[in-house]
Amino acid sequence: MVYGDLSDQSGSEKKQVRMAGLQDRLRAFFFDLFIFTPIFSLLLSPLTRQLQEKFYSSPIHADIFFEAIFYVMLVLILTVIAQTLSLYFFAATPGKYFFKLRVESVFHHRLSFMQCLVRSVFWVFEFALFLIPFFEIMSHRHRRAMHDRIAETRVVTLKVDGDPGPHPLEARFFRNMMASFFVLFAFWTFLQIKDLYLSSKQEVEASVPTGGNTDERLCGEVSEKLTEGVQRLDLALARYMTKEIGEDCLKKEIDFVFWTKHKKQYDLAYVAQGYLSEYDHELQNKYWKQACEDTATTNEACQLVSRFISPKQSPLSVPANVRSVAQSNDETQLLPSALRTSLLSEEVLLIQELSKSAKYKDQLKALRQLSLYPGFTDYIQSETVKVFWSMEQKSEARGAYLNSILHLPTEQQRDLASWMCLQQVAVTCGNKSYPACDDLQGLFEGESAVSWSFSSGVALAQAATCRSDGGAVKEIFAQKGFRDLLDKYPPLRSWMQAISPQSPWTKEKKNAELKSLLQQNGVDSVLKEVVLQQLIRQSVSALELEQVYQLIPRSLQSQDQITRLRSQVSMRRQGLKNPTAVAQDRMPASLQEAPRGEP
Amino acid sequence: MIFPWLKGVVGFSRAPMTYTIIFLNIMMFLMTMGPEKDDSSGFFQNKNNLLFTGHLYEQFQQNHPEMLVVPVSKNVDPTSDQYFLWMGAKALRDVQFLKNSSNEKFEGDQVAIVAWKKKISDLVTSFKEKPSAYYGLSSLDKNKMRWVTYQFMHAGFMHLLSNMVFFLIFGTAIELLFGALPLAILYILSGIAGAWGFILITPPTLAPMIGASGALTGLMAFYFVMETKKRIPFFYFISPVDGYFGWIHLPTLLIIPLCFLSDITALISTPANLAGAVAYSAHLGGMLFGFVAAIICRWMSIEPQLIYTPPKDESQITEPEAFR
Repeated sequence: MVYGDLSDQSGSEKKQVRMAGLQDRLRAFFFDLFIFTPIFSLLLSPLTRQLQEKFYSSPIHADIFFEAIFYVMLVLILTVIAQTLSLYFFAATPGKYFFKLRVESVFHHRLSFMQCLVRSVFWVFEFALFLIPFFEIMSHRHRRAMHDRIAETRVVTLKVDGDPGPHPLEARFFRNMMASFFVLFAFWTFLQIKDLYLSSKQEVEASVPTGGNTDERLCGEVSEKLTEGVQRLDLALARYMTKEIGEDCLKKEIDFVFWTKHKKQYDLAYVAQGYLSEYDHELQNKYWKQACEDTATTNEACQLVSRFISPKQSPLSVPANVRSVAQSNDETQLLPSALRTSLLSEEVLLIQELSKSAKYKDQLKALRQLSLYPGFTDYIQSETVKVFWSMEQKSEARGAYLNSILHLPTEQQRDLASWMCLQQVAVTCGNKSYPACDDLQGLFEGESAVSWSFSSGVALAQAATCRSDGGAVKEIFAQKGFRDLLDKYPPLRSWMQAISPQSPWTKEKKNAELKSLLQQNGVDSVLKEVVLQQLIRQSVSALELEQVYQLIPRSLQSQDQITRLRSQVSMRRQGLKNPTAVAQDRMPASLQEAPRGEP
Repeated sequence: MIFPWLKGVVGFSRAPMTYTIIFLNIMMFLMTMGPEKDDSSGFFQNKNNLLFTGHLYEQFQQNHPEMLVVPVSKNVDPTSDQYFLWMGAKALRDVQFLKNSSNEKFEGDQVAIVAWKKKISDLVTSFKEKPSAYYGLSSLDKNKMRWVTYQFMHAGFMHLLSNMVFFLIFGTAIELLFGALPLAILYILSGIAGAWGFILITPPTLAPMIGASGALTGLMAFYFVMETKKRIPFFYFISPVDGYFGWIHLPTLLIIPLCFLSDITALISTPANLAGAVAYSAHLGGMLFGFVAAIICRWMSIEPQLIYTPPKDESQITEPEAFR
């Protein structure tokens, strides 16, 4: 028996199949997307609502991640169901139907349910592989991707002209591209898994309890273990006054008192709010008035307000006999009870007042007393440096400075270095070496550079001028932070014009400008002190020096600054009598270590 | 992107009512547009102020349990900032709270509370002074005229443009099939139904509802029911490459997923406290009216017919191939 040519038969069958074109399949896919997306969204809308509620209430909610994955899984399941049913009943999805495409079995045309299901499942699975297997449609000679081959199906068109399939070169190109994508995908997956592992490890480490505050409503920087008798808010205010904590931290503590209705601490909370509103005097007054509204002025918070408003009512006005005890030479002794205060923030205020009044020994005692409480270490270190320097114990000051500068947080390093730089420049303007100024300059360089503050800008500009180094002045002007400062504080710009050697102004105009700065309200006391130092140095006659001397108490309120400047005037006066020293325009080195004593 | 194209853009003589309504909407927009007055809404967008509002709202709810409109979600930690931000957002949508908070006695920072009350009072006043408060429909004022005037007012140019493009497509189609007067009646009644949906479903809010979208969904639903059996031209755009954009004739049924389902989905899936700028409830009201009106028309055997007969000199005008 002779059989017919089987290969010819298969060839004739092959000619009858009209494969679907790439364009039609892509258009059909987008139409399915347009049609099914709203339907699936509607079916999943309750879950979407729940997810949104959770996300907006707490974006880092742990459940959200798992629910989002669950959501995606549901979308995939719905896709499988919808595609399976439409293939089984219509042999096409809606998009394919409209573009005259049909899915058929390779062997017997009519699709079985299992074929529809398998095709849909693998079609969805190809999305999980970043659509890479879909490229097979472009490379396979019958336009059959993985899902079609596994389900033994093919997509055909009802149009007259079928797709001839890809050119062999085209097919090869897409096959190679697909292989490359798979390699990249595998590498990317490996990196993702590694990242996931590392981040989960970090999370586990971070979740180990550190013994801090457990209540998120409170500021973590304020210690939970308080010394007996110290109110938490009082400690927060005191630490804010010493710049140990930031505004946000104190605000959090204030809010906690108000919103948890700790009515006993309302007064102190008003005081703290007022202190925070220092740039809005009207608001500050309202808060401080409120602090004394409900209770008589005898309460602690109200007394603190009166201290803020009028330093005259401070314990410094206690009888002289009590103060003499405080001023005794026994430095190990703490402040006498008459000078002690019930509130920690009042104690900090007292230290600040003692500093302004140039009562350095009392300030040291008060600092020692403050060291009994936790959280003031940085402040005490910085203040100790300043006190030693002001007491003319310069070697101790330098030692304390070197000891503390590296341990302080960067912003406090900046403030202390600025202060120290200004003092060094004031003492020896004309030198080339100012270690504190170099430290300060170093803080503004590098990746972890700190932001500029007013006093740091003044200090560095003054140091550059004193060094008579035009290059250094230009360097400061090149710093963006400094230029921002000049824009923010117009008096600083005028001062720079008046002291800069490159300024086109005449000497008389420069002097007039410096003096006008002293008379202006709102000019920072740091700048006024520097201006007065400049005027003292420029004075070439006793008469001129006397005029500057008269200007000092009129321009400044801090006794500390006044004392320092008067001391410089007296040294300049001596210098004028000794022309050699005048020519050098600086304080003799021998005088630098001379004890100045209590004013 | 895909949307029904129906009869496309036709001349004024064939659809005078459609163009008249569009003209009215544009005129209303031009009359009411202008620089926004500075109001206190910026104050409440600040995180700290929103938190503050949330704390006060919690106290308000504790003092007035009978006024509790939206229950607090169980998914939120009631001590977290997120919770109070959530409450703050809710507070600014609660008309009862906004109206009564000025006279309420709150616990806490009294200085800040006094300043806050002033801001809230300014906010309520500024809402009342906006043109949308005169012509828009709000829970505060349900004046009868506003049920109509809100349909002709729009919040911005894009709002107007999107509504008018869709109105041009559906208004023209309905006017060509049923005439000018039925279109006008349908537009107004659908808008009123949309307003009814807004008042009924959306929790009371100070923000007035404006826009023609309620009326528009009514027209779409009406057209869908009346022409269910037809295939209509849709315009699709996948990419600017040739072959990936153009017209395709599809069943009218496709209007459902493309136009209606998205509205219903958005209405269900948006948490009540986070209701956005779109009044989906008004869309739903208009849509329901459109369906009912069309079903009644079909029950009364009012069949659509092309009522327009082109004049002789226009009969040579050919339509794009896709429309034939």
